[in-house]
Amino acid sequence: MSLIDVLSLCNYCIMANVLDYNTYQFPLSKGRKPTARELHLRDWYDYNALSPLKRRYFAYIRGLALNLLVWIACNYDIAPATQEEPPVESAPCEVMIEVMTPFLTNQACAILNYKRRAEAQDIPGVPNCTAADVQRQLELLFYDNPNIINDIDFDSDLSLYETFAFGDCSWRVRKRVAPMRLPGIFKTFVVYVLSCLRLAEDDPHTVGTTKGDRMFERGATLGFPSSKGQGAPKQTVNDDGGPEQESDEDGENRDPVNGSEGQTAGRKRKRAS
Amino acid sequence: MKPNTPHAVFTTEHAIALGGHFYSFTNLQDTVSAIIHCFATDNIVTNTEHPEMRVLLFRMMQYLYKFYVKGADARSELFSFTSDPALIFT
Repeated sequence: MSLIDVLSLCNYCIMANVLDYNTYQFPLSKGRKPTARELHLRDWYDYNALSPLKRRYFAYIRGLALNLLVWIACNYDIAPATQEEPPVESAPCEVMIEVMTPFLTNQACAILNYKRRAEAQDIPGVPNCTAADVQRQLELLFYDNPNIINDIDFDSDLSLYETFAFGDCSWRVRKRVAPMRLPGIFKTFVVYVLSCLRLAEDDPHTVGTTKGDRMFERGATLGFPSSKGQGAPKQTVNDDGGPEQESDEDGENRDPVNGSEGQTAGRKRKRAS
Repeated sequence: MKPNTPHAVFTTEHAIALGGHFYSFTNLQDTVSAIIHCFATDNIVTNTEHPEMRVLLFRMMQYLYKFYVKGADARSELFSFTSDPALIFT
C-alpha cells in the first residue's frame, strides 16, 4: 500500500457525497425530473435523497479522512526526491500545502472538468446530475469550510485538469525522527496562513461537517417532504401510477421556509386532533 | 482483474455468471478513478452501479484511522479480516 493509495482513499471519502447517486435525486421523484419545489429546497437547504443518517455517516467518514491526512503530515515528511538530505524536516503544514491539498483540489477540478466535457458530448451520466450540480456540491464542500482549502475558483476554465492520478512521483516519503503529536486536528487546510496550527476539536463529525450539511440541518428543523408521506407536498396519482406533484407555479412562488413551516404546523395540528 | 479495467463477459453458451468484488489497498488510486468514470459517464462505461460496495471503502478508511491515528493493534481481533470478512470481501 503506497501513500498515494491512502491519499486517494482520503480524497474519495472527503468527496463521497459529491460522487453519490442520491445526492442528485429527491425522495419523492427519485430518478425522475424533480419538481420546482424540490429544486427550490435543494438550493435553500441542500435537500436531496440522502437520508440524514447517511449524511452524518458521510460527515463522519470525511472527518476521519481529514484527521488521517493531518496524522500523516505529523508523522511523515515528504520531500522532493532530488533533495539529497533535507537539513531540517518540513513542517506538517508544508506537507499538506505541497502534496495533499494540491492532490485533493486537482482531483476535484478534474471531476468537474470531466463532467463538463461529458455533458458537452451529450453523455448524461447520473440522472438529474448536471455539471452545474456537481459544481454546486463541490462548492458546498470546499467553501466556508475551515478544514478544507477554500481558494478554488470552480467557475474558471478547468481544462488543464485532465487526470485523477497523483501524477508527480518525484517525492520521497520518510518517517519523521520526531513525529508531532496529534492532540487535535489543526486546521492546516486554511492554507497560506502558515501560523495556522490552531488546535481544534478533532471529533470526526465536527471536522467533516460541510456547509451543505449545515444548510440541510437548518432545513430539517423546519421539516422536509419525505417519501413516507409526512410533510409531503400535495400529490395525486396520475394516469401512469406515478405521483403528480402540485403545480410548479405554486411551488415556485412559495418561500421554502414558510412552505415547510406550514407543513410542520399542519402535522402538529393533525396530531393534536 | 485490476480496477478501472474495461471488460466484458462472453460465454460459448447461455450462462448465468456469478462473481464478486473486492477492494485492494494497493489499487485504491485506480479504484477511485473508476468510481469517477462511472459517475461522469454512467451507463456508457458500466452496466450497473454498486453503491452498496462503497461502504467497504469507508470501512477501509475506518481501519486505517484506527490503526494509524488511534494506534490500535492490527493483530487484534478487531482488525482480523477473518473475523470480519465483510471488511474486504462480499
